[in-house]
Amino acid sequence: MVKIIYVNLFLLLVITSSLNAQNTWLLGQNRIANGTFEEDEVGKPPRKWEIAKGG
Amino acid sequence: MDNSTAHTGAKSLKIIGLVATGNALNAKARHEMVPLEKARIFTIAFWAKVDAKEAPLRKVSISLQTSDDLWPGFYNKTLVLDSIEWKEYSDTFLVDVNELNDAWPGLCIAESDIDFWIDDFRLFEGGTGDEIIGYQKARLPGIWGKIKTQH
Repeated sequence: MVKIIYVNLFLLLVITSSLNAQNTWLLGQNRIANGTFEEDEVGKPPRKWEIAKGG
Repeated sequence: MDNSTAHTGAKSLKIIGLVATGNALNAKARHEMVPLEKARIFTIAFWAKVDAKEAPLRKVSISLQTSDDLWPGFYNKTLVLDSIEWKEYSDTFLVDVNELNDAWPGLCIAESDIDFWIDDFRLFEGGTGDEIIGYQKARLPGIWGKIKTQH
């Protein structure tokens, strides 16, 4: 029973950490956003980025 | 996207200015929405290179805003890009607003029409020395051991 509780607690922590920026360090990374652009196509806007008018 | 120059790999993002409005906020190059938590330190760091054919200096503003109505900005910091070679710029700040699920990190770019490239743009938790480079896949037994020692 104790082991089951430990495993469930562990899984909960891992899932939570993957969803929550607060705990990303637990998974060995703390990057929230990035622009390395290697996966994007030359001549087109990058996929995770937007050039926008504003203010 | 441009493959004529890059800091890392083969590609970078070239910002081509057509008209400068004099107000940096009038145009933005921004990343898609990300979650941030209040009362935590974050750092934006990136590499940039000013187009030597245009000028040696180029103003930009680091910007964080939300997608809520009126798109309130909650952090803004002007930087001067001052190199025609790849150079790293960074800024560390405290997010002193309520928890956010929809922050747009990026650069405000309309103050000048001088072209420049950016590459390796990162937003990470902590100061400049806290960045964990790349994605280091944690080993489950190691995490399990840490949890056991903490409880």
